[in-house]
Amino acid sequence: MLKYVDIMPYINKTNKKIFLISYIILLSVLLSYTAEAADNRRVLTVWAMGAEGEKIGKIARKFEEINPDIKVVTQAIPWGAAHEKLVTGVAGESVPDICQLGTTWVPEFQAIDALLPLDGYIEKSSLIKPEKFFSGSWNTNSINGKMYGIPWYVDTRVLFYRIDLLKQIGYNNPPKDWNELKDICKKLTKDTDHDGKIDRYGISLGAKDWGLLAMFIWQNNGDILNGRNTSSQLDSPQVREAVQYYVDFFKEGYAPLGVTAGTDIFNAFKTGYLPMFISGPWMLEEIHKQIPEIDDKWGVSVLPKKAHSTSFVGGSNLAIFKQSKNQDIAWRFIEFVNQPHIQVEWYHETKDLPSVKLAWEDASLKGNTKLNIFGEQLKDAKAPPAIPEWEQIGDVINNHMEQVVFQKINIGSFIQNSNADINVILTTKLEKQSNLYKIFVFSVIFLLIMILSIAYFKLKPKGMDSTVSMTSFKGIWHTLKAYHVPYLFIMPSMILFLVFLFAPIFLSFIMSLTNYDIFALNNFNNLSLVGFKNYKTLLCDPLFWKALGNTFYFILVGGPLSVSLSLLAAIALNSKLVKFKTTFRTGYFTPVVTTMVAVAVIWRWLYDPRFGLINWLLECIGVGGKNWLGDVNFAMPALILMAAWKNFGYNMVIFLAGLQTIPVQVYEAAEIDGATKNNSFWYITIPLLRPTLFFVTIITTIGYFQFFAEPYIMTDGGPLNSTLSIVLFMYREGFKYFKLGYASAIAYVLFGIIGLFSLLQYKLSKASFEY
Amino acid sequence: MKKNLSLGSIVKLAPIHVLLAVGLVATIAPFLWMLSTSFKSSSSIFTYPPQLIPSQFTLIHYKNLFEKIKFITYFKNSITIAFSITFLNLFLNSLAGFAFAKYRFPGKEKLFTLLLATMMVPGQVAMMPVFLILKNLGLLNTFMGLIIPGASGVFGIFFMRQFMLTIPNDLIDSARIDGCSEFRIYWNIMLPLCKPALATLAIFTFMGSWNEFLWPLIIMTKETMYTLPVALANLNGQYNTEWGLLMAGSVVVLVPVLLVFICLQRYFMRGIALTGIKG
Repeated sequence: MLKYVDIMPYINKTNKKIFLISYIILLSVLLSYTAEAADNRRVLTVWAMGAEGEKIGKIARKFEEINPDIKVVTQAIPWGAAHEKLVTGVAGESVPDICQLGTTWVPEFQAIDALLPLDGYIEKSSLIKPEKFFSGSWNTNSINGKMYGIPWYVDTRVLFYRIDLLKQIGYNNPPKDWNELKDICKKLTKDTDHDGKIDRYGISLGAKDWGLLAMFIWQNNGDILNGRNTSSQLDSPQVREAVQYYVDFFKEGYAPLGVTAGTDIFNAFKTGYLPMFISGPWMLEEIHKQIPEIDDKWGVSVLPKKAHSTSFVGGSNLAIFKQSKNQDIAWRFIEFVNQPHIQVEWYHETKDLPSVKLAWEDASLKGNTKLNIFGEQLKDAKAPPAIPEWEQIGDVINNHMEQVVFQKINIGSFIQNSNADINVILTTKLEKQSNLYKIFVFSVIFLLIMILSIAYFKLKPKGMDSTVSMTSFKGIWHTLKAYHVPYLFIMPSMILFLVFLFAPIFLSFIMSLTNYDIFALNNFNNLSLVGFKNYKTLLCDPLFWKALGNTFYFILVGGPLSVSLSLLAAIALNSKLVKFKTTFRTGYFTPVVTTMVAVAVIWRWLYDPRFGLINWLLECIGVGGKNWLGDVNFAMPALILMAAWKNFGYNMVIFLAGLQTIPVQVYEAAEIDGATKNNSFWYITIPLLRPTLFFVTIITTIGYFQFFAEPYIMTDGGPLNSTLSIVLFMYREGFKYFKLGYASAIAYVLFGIIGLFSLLQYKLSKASFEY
Repeated sequence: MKKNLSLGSIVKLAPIHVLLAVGLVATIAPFLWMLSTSFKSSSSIFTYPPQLIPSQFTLIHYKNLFEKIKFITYFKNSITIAFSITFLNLFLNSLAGFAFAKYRFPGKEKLFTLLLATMMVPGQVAMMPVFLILKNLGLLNTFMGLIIPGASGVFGIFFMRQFMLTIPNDLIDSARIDGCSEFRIYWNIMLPLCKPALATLAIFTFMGSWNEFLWPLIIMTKETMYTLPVALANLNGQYNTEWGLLMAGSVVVLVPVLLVFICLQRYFMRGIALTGIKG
């Protein structure tokens, strides 16, 4: 027990240390604030993704040169995070003026009313006109007859291949058709050093990449949606054949299963581990930059043909946000970027294919053979339908695709499940009646009932607390006056809690009864009360059950592991024999004070299948290493181990304190009676530690229920959702898809489960407290 | 008890010390590996078998971190927020804790029980509405948006109350007799007596705020407002396989915390021990 009298002697020494540290830090912070100069230019914010994000600064500087009154602030955002960030930005009102949008994103952001219609600007402009662009990409911006973006650059996908490795197996030309592609892959896949592991695959294909799958489907005359985009067409024989063809690459081992965003494709292409892959024009530059050693050993070709050699046409458009306060200068920037000479410069900078037709006439582009392949491919390239639900549909296909690639389900199920899910997405209509009034009335009534019942049961006169009557206004006033000091003291905290704790807990429940989503965020007319529909949907959602199962797995395995480790460490450190106690204790506690994010990043590196420390150690002792984070069966254990490492120090300290409350006499008495060390442990230590054990178990369990950062950073819930936790699931639904109503339902279910669990554990321990 | 380092006693002591030492190495190793990788050149990171000591020592990752990625901004954000939250918490929690510990007022027990009950509620339940509340108040992407909701905590109030309960009432009573105002009793008498508890609370609050991930992730949607953990997560997503950069980022995020911890570890231990034993 932290008593005032125990601590007094320690104040003087460490006091000074604390003050010094905080003083220095505070000073440096204040200094850094003063170091920023004032700037009077108008500021234009531009967001760009991927490679474009890194390079757009240069264009921005050129723009600034001819517009000295404008400052352009660019921000680079990774593709993986961009969609989420944009949706969050629209919801969180932190959007840029201009943003690069992937062609498939324009319909979606238009649907949430985020984009500015540009037709007015196009009419007045001499530079931006539809005929100056490729019609396919121009149309990706056209929704309901209005233009919501301007094409910036286009892209398509071609086959990248190692010329020398193909020659080795007898192919002097790249694959012409599907048969040749399969055959080449078959011949390339080899265990070159005969150690039992394949060192060379045929091709790199994504397990969760609807874009790649779509290309093969289109090449076989199939399509994903029907002509009017009202239902899924995945059950056609053409689609089935294409999917079979794709899955076979994995089944027959020509394509590795572990390829994720984290795989270093450059290293793999260089060493020949992955001799072929399908990608876009940005790779031309990147390969030359990162692995120039093989500059003359690789080439590109149009995709192998079935009925067609259709590829994917995409690219990016530039859109202006409605919330932008700089719309005019934003348009000027868009015009600037679409001038043919700037487009040519941009090509040389990023190898992005120009969207403006005139740019292609430039001499520097016409003479480039590899580039001409892309030009050739652009002639046979399709884009997915321009509907707002496409992002969701893409995700659905990705999820099911992963299942069928990993052979968890067969192709028939893949088609059936995908069809069903896509059709659900397409037929969900929004309830557009304004039910805001209903919600308001409902919540007020609900709140009143709650307050009245609490007041009735809890404020009945009982003992010292109610010496003053609380049931009349005069009584309340007198109470306030008499006790104004403590009330004032607690008031600031209580107000904060009311606004940021009690109200949200209540509001969250109400929200879970509505269909609050991104459409309602900007327009309350889209909100309505749906009763317990969210909860019903939740109970039928397989992802929810998966997340629940994973969370329980984490708790039931990780909990005991962490607790026993802490207990062991505490007992070891409590022993009188041990020297350097403080060192050990501090060392073991160190992971606790660190942030989970950093720990996750470090352990991601430790778990790297090829260069990580853990696999190296395992190889040293003769046990084989595994692809921990990429393997469905080992990802969760990997996270569990990491969590145990991070947390055991905390519980260890609590156990140490608990152990020290056990009087030595008890052990001595037992020793006199002839008890062995083993006996004293099981019959004295453990029983006397029961309260501490109970406490530690409860806080560990509650903490583990909420694990989020581990899967978020390390596996993004994968592979195959094997590490999806409840909170990650809730975060995704709430802050990636902005289905806030649904997410609130998840939160309440989590709350309920934690409550139940705590109650259970409490009852269990109550039963055995008497000793 | 004096220990003679005879051969017999070394043999008896050795196994447990070796075991503990191995455990210590296993615990610290990831941090050392992080440090080592952050100083290796990119090509020497991708070698197998892995080198424990960098053969090509380089500071380029740190350079990139601070020049290209402007990590100092995030550092500044984290410090500002952590300091503000800590000071506010110290003030508000001690004030409220004082009221709960040393005063009697109607509704005290019920209110306190209510507060304890809310500790059972997982923070994520409040996440969505708080986001909406802050959005409508215009506080998203501001320091205030993170500081105000975090300015007081139930645990802090509980902690201060526990400590203040152990302070004898005589000092307070005699100050009252001398005509001291209630606030001055709090400010001039209670606070100085609570320095150790305040110090412990300060450390825990600072660390908690520094390491906080989910809340800043939700509330700060503008990159310039990120705190260190969020910035590191972003780095992890953006520069997925640039391990040198990622490790350097981790070092920057972890080193301040570790330094503070090593200097003040006694307070940590004591604070946690307190929460573990029913007072």
